[in-house]
Amino acid sequence: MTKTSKKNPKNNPMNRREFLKAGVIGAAGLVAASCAPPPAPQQVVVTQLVPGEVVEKIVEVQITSAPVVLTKPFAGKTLNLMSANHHDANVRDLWIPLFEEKTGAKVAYTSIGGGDADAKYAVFLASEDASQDVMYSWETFNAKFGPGMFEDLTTLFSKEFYDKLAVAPVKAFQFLGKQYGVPFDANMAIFLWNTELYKSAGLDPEKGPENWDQFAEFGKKLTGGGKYGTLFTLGDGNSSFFTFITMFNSSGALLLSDDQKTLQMDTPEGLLALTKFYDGVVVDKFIDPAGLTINSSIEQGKVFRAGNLGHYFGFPNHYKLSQDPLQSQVVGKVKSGIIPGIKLRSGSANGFEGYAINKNSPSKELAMAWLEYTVSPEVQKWIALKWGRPPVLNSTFEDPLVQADAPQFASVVEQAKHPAPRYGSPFYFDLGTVFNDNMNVMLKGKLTPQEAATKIQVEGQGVIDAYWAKVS
Amino acid sequence: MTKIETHVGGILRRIHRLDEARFGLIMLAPTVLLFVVLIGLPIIYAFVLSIHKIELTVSPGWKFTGLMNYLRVITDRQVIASAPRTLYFAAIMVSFTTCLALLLALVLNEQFSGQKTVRALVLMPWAVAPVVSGVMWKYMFHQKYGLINAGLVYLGVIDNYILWFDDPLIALTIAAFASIWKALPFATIIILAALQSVPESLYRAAKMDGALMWDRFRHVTAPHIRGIMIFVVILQIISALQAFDMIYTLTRGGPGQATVMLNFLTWVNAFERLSIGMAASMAITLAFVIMLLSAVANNFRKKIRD
Repeated sequence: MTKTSKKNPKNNPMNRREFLKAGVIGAAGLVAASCAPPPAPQQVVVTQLVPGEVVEKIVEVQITSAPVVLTKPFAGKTLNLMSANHHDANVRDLWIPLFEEKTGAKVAYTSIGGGDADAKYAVFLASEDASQDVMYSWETFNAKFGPGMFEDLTTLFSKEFYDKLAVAPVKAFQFLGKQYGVPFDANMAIFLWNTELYKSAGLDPEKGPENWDQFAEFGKKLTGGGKYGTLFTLGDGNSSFFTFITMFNSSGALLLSDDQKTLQMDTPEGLLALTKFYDGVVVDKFIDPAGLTINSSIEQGKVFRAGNLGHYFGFPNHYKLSQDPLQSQVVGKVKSGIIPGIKLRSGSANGFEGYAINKNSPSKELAMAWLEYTVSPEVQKWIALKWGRPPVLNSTFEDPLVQADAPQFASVVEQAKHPAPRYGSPFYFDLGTVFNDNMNVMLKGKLTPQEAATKIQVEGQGVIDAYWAKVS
Repeated sequence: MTKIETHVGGILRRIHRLDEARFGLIMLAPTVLLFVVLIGLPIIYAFVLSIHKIELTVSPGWKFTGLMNYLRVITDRQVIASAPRTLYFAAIMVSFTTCLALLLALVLNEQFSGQKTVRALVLMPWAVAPVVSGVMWKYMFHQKYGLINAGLVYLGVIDNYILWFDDPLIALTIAAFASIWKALPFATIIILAALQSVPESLYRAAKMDGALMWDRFRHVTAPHIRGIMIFVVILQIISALQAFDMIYTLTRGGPGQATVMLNFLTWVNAFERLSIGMAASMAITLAFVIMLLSAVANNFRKKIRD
């Protein structure tokens, strides 16, 4: 026989008397609450995100019951956000919690490898998928996926909104006159050098080279003992193209015509850039040949941080990484400047990143709120200080804290005065493969730079013509 | 008796009255239905895609083009360039996998201590996910941190690290051998199963007739496993022509396009160029080639058997 214990609530169901008692207490409470005077309206500051701009305004909130509940514009809603996995530490761990706090929305975060994103996006595009509201994007994605999958943001955000941002990144998120995304940074390659290796090579550690020839001279002095002057990535189409245009952009010419229909490679400037590169790898051997099989700037940065490179063209956040003792052996030994140019003083290539809104998203207002949030002063400050990337919001550059904590941004500001187009396009990867193919063959001595330039021109133009033929 | 029981009983009685052929068809129906839904419909859908021009970078619209995509496939510069690479890859993969699997199966068929452990170990590569094995081989041959380079330097074979993936032929060969490593266990297990079905009495009889090891293999083992060997070859051909995951993770088609093969090119067309019609026609063409080769090999197997 089971004994019922009074101490065990499971075995001690509420009897009728207790039930009535609880009911009377509850009813009395309700009566008391309804008779009490309503609390006086209070002023609280909430951040209300509305399409058009992020507005911090004081709103009157009628507080009807305790505890205090702030009006959160997207409470109960979920934002499905897809970002690249190299954003995780910032987007997932920093940006999202604050966004959730401000808007009341939940963010379902998915991160994907940057290199795998285009395959996933292709599936989304083909299936008119609506599972993601906001998607990571960059110049080529805007051109490739913009017309089919991204919301046209040209008029969804105000002119004032775009005017607050750096011009070049905003432009890079346009394709055929339409704005398909909002950049969150103004990332572009700058010049980084190892002061200790400079000193050992008898070079002035305070001063980087001012032109390509000097860069090559320095490189030769820095090469030896398992270390190389520099390393460029040529492991695949994207990295080869990026490497080439970073050099080519300082030649004073344009690689593609404005309408993106004509490749201008078989030119004196194209040949010059290829020849300089060929000389660096094959003749003077100051460019680490390992770069031929490396396709990521992240890998390139690791070689520099291991103390095995004299100098290189790297992204500004590489400077920050180089100052992290957990990831770097060159802490306190790195300086930044602008990239030494071939004909012009300098040239670079951009690595702008940002977000686009899925055309099929059912939560476009929330998605817009996210885009606005990423260019808000607080997130932009994080981008500068925590990530080490150049912010896209112009005013953040003027923040004294940013200026003091991120010395590489002085180089970015200077670098931004020089050409840095990336030529993102729907045929970017195919064109990159043409460069990759022929540059690899050239560097093995099977093509002269002139032959390579001619082949790239013919094959590259073929890729471009094929794309525009499809469009027509 | 409830209504349901009466109803079920009625159905069972009707099934019981069916003739053998009809009963067989009913039993097959769920499988056939699954086959149609999961395999048949996608094939039909792929074919429909292949006769349309679908360029997702331009618009989501479909435009009927008949067999134009197929014409593009057989005249495409990249398809023509990737065909010999695919053949080279397939030749290495099929020949090495089959021979090594046979050798391994013969060894595993013998009685020795630790035989079970060795059999389990042999299966390990098969259990590794293709992408994981691709990444593993990539790091083994890494130009700066790779185990192979470090080992060769340690042994004094080389002075400087080799850029394995910089040479088109070496890169393709590494991809082929990495695929062999992955495919070997399955092929071995199949052959081992065939070996174990050879009656022991035949070996004893051959031994009594004075047959040496080679003779026993030639006159007893080989005739018994010939059919299964051809089956293994067919499987390897299919696997080699479908190679994608290993290439994607190991070389991503590089250096240049040196390891871009037909199936990888199908992926490039679908997911990088977003030319869905062209990709579908490539996939159908490749499937047709695989079916043709399989039919030829199967025919050969039947001839041998007869």
